[in-house]
Amino acid sequence: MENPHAERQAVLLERIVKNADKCTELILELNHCVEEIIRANLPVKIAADLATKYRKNVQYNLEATREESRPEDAGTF
Amino acid sequence: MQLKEPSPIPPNPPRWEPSADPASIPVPGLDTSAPVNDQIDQIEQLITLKLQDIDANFSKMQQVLSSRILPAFKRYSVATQPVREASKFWNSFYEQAAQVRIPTSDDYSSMYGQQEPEVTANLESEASTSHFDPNQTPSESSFLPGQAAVSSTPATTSRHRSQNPHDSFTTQGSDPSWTASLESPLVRLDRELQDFARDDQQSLTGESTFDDTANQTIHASPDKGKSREPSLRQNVLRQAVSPLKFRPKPKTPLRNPYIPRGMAPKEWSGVVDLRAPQTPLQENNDDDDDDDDLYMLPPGMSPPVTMALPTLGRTPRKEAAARIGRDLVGDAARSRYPPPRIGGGESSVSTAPTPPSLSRYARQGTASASESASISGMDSLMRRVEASGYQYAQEESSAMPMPIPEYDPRNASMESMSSDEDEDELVHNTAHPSAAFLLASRQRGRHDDDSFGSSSSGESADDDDDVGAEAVHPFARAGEAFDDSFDDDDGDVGAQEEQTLFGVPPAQRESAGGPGRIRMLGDDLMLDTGVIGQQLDRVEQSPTPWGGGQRHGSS
Repeated sequence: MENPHAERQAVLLERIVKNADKCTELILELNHCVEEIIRANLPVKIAADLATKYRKNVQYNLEATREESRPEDAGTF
Repeated sequence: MQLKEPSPIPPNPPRWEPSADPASIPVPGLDTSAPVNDQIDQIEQLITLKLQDIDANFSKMQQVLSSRILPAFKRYSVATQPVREASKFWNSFYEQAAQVRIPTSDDYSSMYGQQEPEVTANLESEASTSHFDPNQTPSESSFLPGQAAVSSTPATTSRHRSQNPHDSFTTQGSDPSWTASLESPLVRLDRELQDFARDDQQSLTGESTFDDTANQTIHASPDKGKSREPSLRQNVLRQAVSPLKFRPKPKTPLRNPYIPRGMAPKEWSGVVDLRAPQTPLQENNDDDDDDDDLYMLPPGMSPPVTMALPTLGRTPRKEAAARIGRDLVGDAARSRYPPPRIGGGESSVSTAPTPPSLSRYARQGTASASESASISGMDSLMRRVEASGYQYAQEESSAMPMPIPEYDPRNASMESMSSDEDEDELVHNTAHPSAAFLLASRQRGRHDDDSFGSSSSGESADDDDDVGAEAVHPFARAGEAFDDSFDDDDGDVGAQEEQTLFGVPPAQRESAGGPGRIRMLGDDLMLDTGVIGQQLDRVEQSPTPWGGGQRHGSS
């Protein structure tokens, strides 16, 4: 009676499950990729942070020395 | 790669709430007036359609993932590889500068974060401690950490500063055991700085207020800075680790020639009085007779500015190509004459790490260390040529016998001509006999087969003047390892065995060309036009990882 429907739907469900599995695998692979990228970019982030810190220090020191000596000619980074 | 805007996602239809009464569940698309069995059929068909949609969505998802997203990530990771290389260099640079070890993992970050303010306080200046430790009690102890500061991660300061604002100096006496292993290579400089800081504190009147100590340390630091800096700089230069090639040190003389003789370098205000009876160039007459006489500027002329040339046409690529050209030239020159040492440091390899942007060019040609050697080699060659009455020139330049008799009359004109030339004084100099050769040969005729030009070295971007793209390095000879001159000589595009319009790139030329190939002077200018860039795979050679090597031509 509802066999034709059920049969068709079963086939569809089978395909759905197969596709979902593949998608899951792909997403897991994507996660690994992104994790690797993040891990690889960590030194870049460190370098950027170092540069920021350096600039902040330089700016601070320059301003401090500038006030101490003479208020001209700001040194920029 | 084009990014198109993603189409807006249609919102989900409202979910059905389960209900005990089947009759109350609304089913969209169902014809509620039909008989029940038909409704059942309709429902079944709706189910089938829904399942089909679900299947289609899943497969579409999988296709998009596998075809676009994952490859994009992989391309991204590959493309950012130069960034990582650069970050390695800069990390080592900052590590050396601050004598701080940066961990690659976050295992030690929590411990490092505590020690970080000590390190930065020691290394930057005492006044900067407030920058990192606003909560720290300003006292002398803040400047004298006592225990040597242990390696820490400046990068994790922001992460851990809020967590450990007061821990910076409390852990001095209780360093973990592992810090002992990390201390030894790192804290030597810290101790030096602490000693200086301690000396500063002791030399000044002891004041505990932060501002005063800051000001005093600032007062003292300029004086001490010079003794402190060499230790920092020495350490950096000595221990600098760079996976990349080195760059030659700037060739500055040991003593500033523009400082009046009796003045100490510290007191010099930087203003050179040209009316002064003793300009530095006149003073140098005593020192170097042979060479510097010819190097001397005309009286009253301001010293040429090294950087005055417009740098519009100069890109790292051109400069690197020029450098490669000079390396090639230097190789040939050096093959005849071993390079002497000038000033003790000229031909030595600089220990300063090279920024990554230029490393690719250093890798391609001969070692960039040979560049300074090449220049010194040419210098020696020049001197010998000049000293020996141009006999060497006759011997060497078997291919160019003509210019030699004309050296004298040309030399006078060369002096006036090259007085405007600025950079690379060693090479472009008036006394440069090669320049004389070139000028002579040029005046003889540009149609010579050997096609000499007037300018001397492979300085590409500077020789826009009279040379054009003509001819050959002054020391080029048949039989030496120089490349053939290119199209301008022959006048046609398909010159010799060149694959491209203006010739192969330096890397290929070096490998492909053997002895006997004369190189054109302005070729690196031409090489850097977009034509070459298009035809050759120079993406990886670009200093800028993303845009330098693309096909857009002008760099």
